[in-house]
Amino acid sequence: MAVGKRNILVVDDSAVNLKMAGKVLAANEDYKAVLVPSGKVALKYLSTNSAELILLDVMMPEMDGFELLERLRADEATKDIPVVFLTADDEGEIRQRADELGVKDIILKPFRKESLLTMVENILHKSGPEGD
Amino acid sequence: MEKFILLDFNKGMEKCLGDKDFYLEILAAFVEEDYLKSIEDFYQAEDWAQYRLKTHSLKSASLYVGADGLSEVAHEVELAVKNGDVAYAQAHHGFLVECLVETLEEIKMAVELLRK
Repeated sequence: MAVGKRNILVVDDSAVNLKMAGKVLAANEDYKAVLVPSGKVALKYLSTNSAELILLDVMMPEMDGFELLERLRADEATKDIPVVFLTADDEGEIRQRADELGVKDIILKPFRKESLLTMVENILHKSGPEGD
Repeated sequence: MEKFILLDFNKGMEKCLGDKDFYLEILAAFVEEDYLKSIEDFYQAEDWAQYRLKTHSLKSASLYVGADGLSEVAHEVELAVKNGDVAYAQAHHGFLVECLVETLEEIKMAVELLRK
């Protein structure tokens, strides 16, 4: 049943990564994972839908995670959606920019099921059952 | 199983939460991404920005299928391009391609075994 499910938007250019995130999130029946392959598609989706959390790949062609996040922050409708970076690189530069952009957390790929679910649960719990 | 050199079946299954059907799905997605073509195309075009993005993507996708060795080679090449060391990427591109081809062959074998 879709009613009451919490929309989590996953943005990643890799189909493998998207499938993995979708599979892990499906373990919690309260979550509905929406999987999109680019920043452009994410913006299109968010123009007519909402999300309570965005899991965002950093390195993507055309529009990277930083650019997408800047665009989300500049839009009244999306500026408060919590964002978590999904990245294969644990680099200081990424952490610094993530902090500047108000990213909630960083999950390293390949992520473990438990750590991803715990992080998602923590963030959604803080933002309340209906989101914010 | 001794035929598998680059693909660690058990590790891939573990990454796929022990779900055989899902592992098959991930293996299929990996093959469909056609890393070989895109990496080769970007290399030939000397489009290092796109080459870096693809090797970066290959690095993490390889880990999910259980091909850690391929991931390591992709990571080294990606890092070299990031640091402007195109000569390293040029010297190791052939090896990366060899590893990728071998991994794809092993994936084909793994899929056959998993479907039995």
